[in-house]
Amino acid sequence: MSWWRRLLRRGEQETHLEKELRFHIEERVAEFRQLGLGEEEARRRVRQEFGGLEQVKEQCRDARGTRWLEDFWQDLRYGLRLIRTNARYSAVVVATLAICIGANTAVFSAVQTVLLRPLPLPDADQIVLMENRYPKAGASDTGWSSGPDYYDRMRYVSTLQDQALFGTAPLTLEGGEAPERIMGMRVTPSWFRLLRTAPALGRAFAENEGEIGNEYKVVLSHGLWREGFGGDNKIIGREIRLSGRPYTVIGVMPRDFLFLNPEVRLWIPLALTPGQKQARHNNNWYNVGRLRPGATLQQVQSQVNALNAANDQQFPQFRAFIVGFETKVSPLKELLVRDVKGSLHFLWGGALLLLLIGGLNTGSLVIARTSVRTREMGTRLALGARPGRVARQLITENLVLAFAGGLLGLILTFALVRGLQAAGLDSFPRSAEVRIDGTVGLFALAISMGTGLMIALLSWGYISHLSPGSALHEFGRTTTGGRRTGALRKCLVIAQVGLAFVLVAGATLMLMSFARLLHVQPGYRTDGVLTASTALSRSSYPSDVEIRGLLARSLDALRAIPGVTSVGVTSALPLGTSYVAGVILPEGYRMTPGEKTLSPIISLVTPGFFGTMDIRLRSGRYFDERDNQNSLPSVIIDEKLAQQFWPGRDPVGKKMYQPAGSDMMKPQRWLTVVGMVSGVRMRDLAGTGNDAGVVYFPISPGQAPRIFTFTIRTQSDAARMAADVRAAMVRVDRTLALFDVKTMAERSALSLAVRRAALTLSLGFGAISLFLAAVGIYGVLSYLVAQRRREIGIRIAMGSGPGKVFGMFLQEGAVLIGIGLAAGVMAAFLMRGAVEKLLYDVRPLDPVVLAAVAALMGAVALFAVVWPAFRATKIDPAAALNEQ
Amino acid sequence: MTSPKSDLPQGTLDLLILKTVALGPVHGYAIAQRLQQISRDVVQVPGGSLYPALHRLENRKLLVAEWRQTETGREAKIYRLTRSGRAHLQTGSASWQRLSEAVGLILGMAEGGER
Repeated sequence: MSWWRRLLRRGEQETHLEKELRFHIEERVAEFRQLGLGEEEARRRVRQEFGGLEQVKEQCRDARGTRWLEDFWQDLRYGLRLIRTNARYSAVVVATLAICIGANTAVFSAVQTVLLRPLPLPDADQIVLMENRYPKAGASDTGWSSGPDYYDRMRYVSTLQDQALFGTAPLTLEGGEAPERIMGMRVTPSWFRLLRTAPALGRAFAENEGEIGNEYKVVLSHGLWREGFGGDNKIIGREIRLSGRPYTVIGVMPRDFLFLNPEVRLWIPLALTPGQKQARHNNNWYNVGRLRPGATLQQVQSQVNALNAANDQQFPQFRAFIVGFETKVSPLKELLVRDVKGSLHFLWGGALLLLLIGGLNTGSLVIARTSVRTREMGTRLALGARPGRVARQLITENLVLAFAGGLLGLILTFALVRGLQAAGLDSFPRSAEVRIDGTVGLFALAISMGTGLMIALLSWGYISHLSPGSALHEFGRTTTGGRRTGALRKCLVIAQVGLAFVLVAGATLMLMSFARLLHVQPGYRTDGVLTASTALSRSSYPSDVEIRGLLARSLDALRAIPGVTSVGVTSALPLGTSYVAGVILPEGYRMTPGEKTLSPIISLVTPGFFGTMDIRLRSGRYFDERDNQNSLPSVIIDEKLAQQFWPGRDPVGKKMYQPAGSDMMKPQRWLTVVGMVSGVRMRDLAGTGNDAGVVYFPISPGQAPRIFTFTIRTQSDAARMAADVRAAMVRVDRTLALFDVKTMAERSALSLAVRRAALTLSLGFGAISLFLAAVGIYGVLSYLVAQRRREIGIRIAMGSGPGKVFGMFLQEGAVLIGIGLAAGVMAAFLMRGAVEKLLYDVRPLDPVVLAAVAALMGAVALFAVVWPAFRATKIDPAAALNEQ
Repeated sequence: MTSPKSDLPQGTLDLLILKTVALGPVHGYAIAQRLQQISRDVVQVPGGSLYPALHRLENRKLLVAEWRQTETGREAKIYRLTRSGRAHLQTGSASWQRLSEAVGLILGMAEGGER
C-alpha cells in the first residue's frame, strides 16, 4: 500500500490495529484462564506483560512511515478548529496578513513585469544598448549614438554578434478617410536578424534597402495590418502613402511582436546619408547589439571604451567639445525602466516593511494567544508530548492562518492592481503587461509561508522555555508569570513603531515633495493653454517657404476661433516628448582645458509663443515681425544660459555664434541676443536633465521646423476647445494629422503620474503601518493591564488615585513609543539613500519633517494607550484581589 | 513468575521475527509465543516492541500480512515472509553468526592467558 493510500485509509488502519492487538490480548487471557487464573487476574497479568494498549498503538503508529503526515492532518484539523472557535482573533490575523500580503503581491506584480521579466523577445537578456553620455554637458541619459559609432562598433566590438540602429519616426498615414498620425520606427536591416524575429507575412528588409534611394519599403505591425488594411493577405507589394511618399509593403510582423514601444505600428528602413555616416557625436539613434554566446556586458563595455580612446587619438578636434564623454553599455531593458526603477524599488521596499510590521503585529497577537494556551501546551508537554511535536503543531496552526491570509491577499491583489493602474501605474512602462500570473501567485505563497513561519517561530520562542511544571503554574496565582510574554511583546511593539516611522516618514517626504512640485513655478503657465502637434511631409511642404506659409495660415485660422486670445508655435514644447540640443557660444569665448561645453535645448518659435505660454521677459524684447526678415539673425536666451556666460550682467545686445562642425572656435553664423526670458522646466516639473537652459530662435527664412506644436491660449476651459482647433486645422490643410492634442494642465499631470502613483502607494503604506502600530500598542498595553490586575487592585486599595494609575500606564506606553520612534529615526537615517533621488526640494532627513512625523505618530500611538490606561483605573480592587 | 530476562541487542528482534515467520505464515501472538517457547522463556517480547517491529517490517516490505480465520474461528492478521524478507534474513543471520562466534571467542578467552 502506498503511503498516501495508507493515509487515506487511516480509519481502516486504526480498526485493524485495534483488532490485531485485541486478538493478541484475548488469546493470552484465554491461555492464562486455561492455566486456572480468574478473569481479573488474567487480564492484570496480560496488561503487565503486554503493556498498555494505547501506548502500544502509539508506538505502532510511529513505526508507520506516514506519521508526520498523519500529524499534519491532525494539526491542520486542529488549526482549522481553532480558527473557527476563535473567529475574532483569526479574522484579525487573517485580515492583517491579507492586507500586507496583498499590498506586497500587487507591488511585486508591477516590479516583476517592469523590472524583472525580460522583454518579450527571443533571448532578450542578450541585447544591449550603447549610449553616448556627456554628463558634464548635462546630457546623461540620452540613450543615443551617432552614425559613425555604429560602423566603428560593427568593426571593432567583436563581443557583439549583431548590431542595429533604430529610432522612432512619427509619420502620417494617408489614404484613409482622414490622414492618421502614426508612430513608426526606422530600423537598419540588421535589426530583424538581431531580434531573431522575422515577419509573419512577407520578408524583412534586405541589406541594400538600408541605403539611400531604396528605403521606401515598410513592414506593418499585425495590429495595423488587421485594422488599417482588413488583414488583406495580398497586402505584400501594395503601395501605401506615408507622410506624402509612396512606400511598398514588404512584410507584416507576427501578432505578439512587441519591441519597446507598443505604439509603434510600422517599421521603415533607416538609411543614413553620407553626412550622417560621418557626423561624430551627432547622436540621433539607438544603437543596440546582441552579445556573442559567452560574452559579457563588461567585455562589450571595455571594447567600447577602448574604441572611444582610439577615436579620441584619431579625432583630436573633438577633445574640447566632448570633455567627460563616455559610452555606457547596459541591458536594453534599462532604457525602458530607468525612470521608474527608483520609484519601484522604493515601493517594493515599503511593501516589504509593511509586511514585516504586519508580521510583527500578528506575531504579537499570536504570542498573546499562545500565552493564554500555556496551560494547554504545558499539559501536552506534561503528558509526554515531545517539544518538537508541539512546535510542529504551532507551525501548522500559524501556516494555516498565514495561508488563509495569503489567499485572501491574492484576491485583494486583483483589486489593488486595478486601483494602482488608476492611481498612475498605467503611466509606468510595460504596465499594460502587468498581470497576476503563476510567478505572482508563487510569490504570494512564498511570503505567506515565510510570514507564517516567522510568526510560528515567535510563538515557539515563547513556548520553548517552558517546562511542563512552570507552564502549569503560570497563570496560576503568580502575577509576575507573564513577564516574559510582556517583554517579548514590548520588543515587537518597539520594532513596529520604528518600522512604521520609516514608512510614515517616507510617505510624508513624498507628499511634501509632490506638494512642492504642484506649486513649482515652471516658468510658464499651465492653465488655459491647449497644445496640438503636427508633422509636415516633405512632399507637401518641400521647403521652409511652404512651411512658413502654412504656419501663417494656421495661426490666422486658430486666432479666429472665438475664445482664443493668443497663439504660438514651438519646436520644443515644455513637457513635450523630445528635444534637440546644440552648442552655442558667446563672442570671444575662450575655452579653458577640461571645461564642459553647454548644450542648451533649441526651440524654434513664432513671436506669439512667449505670450501664449506666459514666459516672462527679463530684459530686451520678444521676437517680432522684424526677426522674420532681418538679415542679422536674432536669438533669445533664458536666464539659465545667460547666467553661464554673463553672470550678473544683461546679455541683450551681445553676439553669440554656433560653432561650425567640430571646431569650437570657428563660427558657423553670428547671432544677436535680443532678449532674455525666464528659465523654464522643460522635461518635467522637477527640472531634471535641463542644466544648460534654452535658446530660442525665430521661425524665419531658412529656419522652420517640420515637427512642431501649436500653443493656444483660451479664455474658457482649454480642453473644450480641442474640437474647434481640429476643425480649424482641417480647413487649413485637410491632409494634416494633429496629435497629442492636450492642455498644458494635462501634460503637467502626466509628467507627475509616476510620482503620483508612488505617492499614493506610499501614503497607503504609511497609513496602514500607522494603524497596525497603533493596534499593536493597544494590544500590548491592554495585555499589561490585564496582567497586572492584582497589582493595580492592591495599589488602588492602598489609596492610589485613578490619576496615578492612569499616569503609570500612560508612562509605560510613552516609553515604548519613545524607544520605537528613536529606533525609527535611526532606521530613517540608514535608509535615507533609498528615497533621496525620488525627492524634489525636500531633504530625506529634513528635521522638521521627521519631528512632525514623530509628533503625529506619538499622538496616534498615545491615543492607543489611553483606553487601556483608562480601563486600569476602573479596576475594582475587591474583585481583582479575590480572583483565585 | 520471575524468569530471567535478557535485553535484545538492537536489530536482533527483527531477525528473530523474520526467522519465526520463515517457518510458516503466522500471527503476532503466535510469534510472541514461539519466541518465548523456543528461547525457553529467555526472550519475552512486550507488545510495545513486537507490534511496532512487525509494522516496520511490513512497511519495509520484508513481510506481508493478510486477515485470515484461525482454528478458533477468530480473524487474525497473518504475516508471511516476502522474497526480500528471506534475503534479509539470510544476510542478517549470517552476520549474526559471525558476530556471535567472535564475541564467544573473546568472552571464552582464558583469563590471564598471556603473561
